Amino acid sequence: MNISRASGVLDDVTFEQFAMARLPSLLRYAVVLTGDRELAQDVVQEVLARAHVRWRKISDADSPEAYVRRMVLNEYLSWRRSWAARNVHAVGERLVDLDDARGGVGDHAQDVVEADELWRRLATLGRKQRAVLVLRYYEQLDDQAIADLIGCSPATVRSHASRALKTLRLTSERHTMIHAEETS
Amino acid sequence: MIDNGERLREAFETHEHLAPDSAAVYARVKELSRSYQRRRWGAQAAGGAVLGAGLIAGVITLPGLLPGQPSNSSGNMVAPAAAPALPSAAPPAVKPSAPVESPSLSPAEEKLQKQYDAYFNAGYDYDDAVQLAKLWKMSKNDIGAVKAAAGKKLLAGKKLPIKPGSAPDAPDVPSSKEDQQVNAFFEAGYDYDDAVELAKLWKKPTAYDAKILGGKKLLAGETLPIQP
Repeated sequence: MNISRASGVLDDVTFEQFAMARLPSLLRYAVVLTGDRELAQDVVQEVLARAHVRWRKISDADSPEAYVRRMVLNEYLSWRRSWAARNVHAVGERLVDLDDARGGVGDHAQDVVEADELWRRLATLGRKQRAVLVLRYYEQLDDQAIADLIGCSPATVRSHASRALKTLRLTSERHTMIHAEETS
Repeated sequence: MIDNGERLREAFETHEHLAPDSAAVYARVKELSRSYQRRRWGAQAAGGAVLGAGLIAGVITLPGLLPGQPSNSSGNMVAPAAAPALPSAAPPAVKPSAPVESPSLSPAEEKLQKQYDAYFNAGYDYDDAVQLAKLWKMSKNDIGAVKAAAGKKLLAGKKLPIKPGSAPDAPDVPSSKEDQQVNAFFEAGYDYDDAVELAKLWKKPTAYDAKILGGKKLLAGETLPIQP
């Protein structure tokens, strides 16, 4: 189902239709954003339940999906307790083990190992830092759009990204690369 | 060599499959939204009742203040006052334009769902489950199992060792000195390319080191050798 307003069908979309069409995508977004299956579920449940109650207002928005995705982001950022703060040490310890365990594996297997390793490292980031990376590289938003979503300046977005990449140990490698991914 | 953006994208996309099951989440969303809707109707009904009672009281005293009013005036005035409460008393029938299929759950899933419902309906949340996992020495990697165990106890009429919503907030991670310095660097309008140039000038091993030093100088009121 196309739920974009431009398609002209949005006005007729009920909450139920929206949820059935977009829930899988919202859950994927939430799990990438939170890095945690259970937290993603809680965040999306909470957001959609509230969205259901306020659906008339949300369906009037230019893009209800963007509105709900923003609700998911805000819910994650304002979640009462920092998931990262609880897990940073445990994950960090596991990372050391992983680094030590890495060795001669095939290219594809190596890619998978690296993706898994990076995923675990992402769990050590603060919520805003992680959110900035997700919005920049998963949602492919520019820094201005990210700044609007998070409620800060584009400079602060770049700062979050820079520190996040540093924490992920990607900056030193990037220093030697010809094209820097960080465009700031 | 793949760039960092690509590596991050790959890390995100290869872990999308961790997303929870949509049907189970949707069932829970419906349950939660019904609960929110009931609360909303309850609040509206309470508000409408107070408003209605106030206006009715006004109507009762009004004829005494305005002698000569027609005898049926009070009836005409009460009706609009009472009207706002009416929609609250009768929830609007929701008729989705397309039928929504309820996810069919196996007996085991239904049992699990009841445990989840008992847990959430009692007012407990994710943070409480994390706290319970600690108390019960259960794995924090399977918070769902903790919620289910807690829900099971609640369904059996037992009390949980913590009150709903009582899990302590984790303290915010304070911004480190390094964070403040990097922030100051970017806030002054400098960017990554500037950091690379400064790293060369200052003979710093990485651009990040230049950001830290640059931010430190800026915070100290100094100017940097290049303009942003």
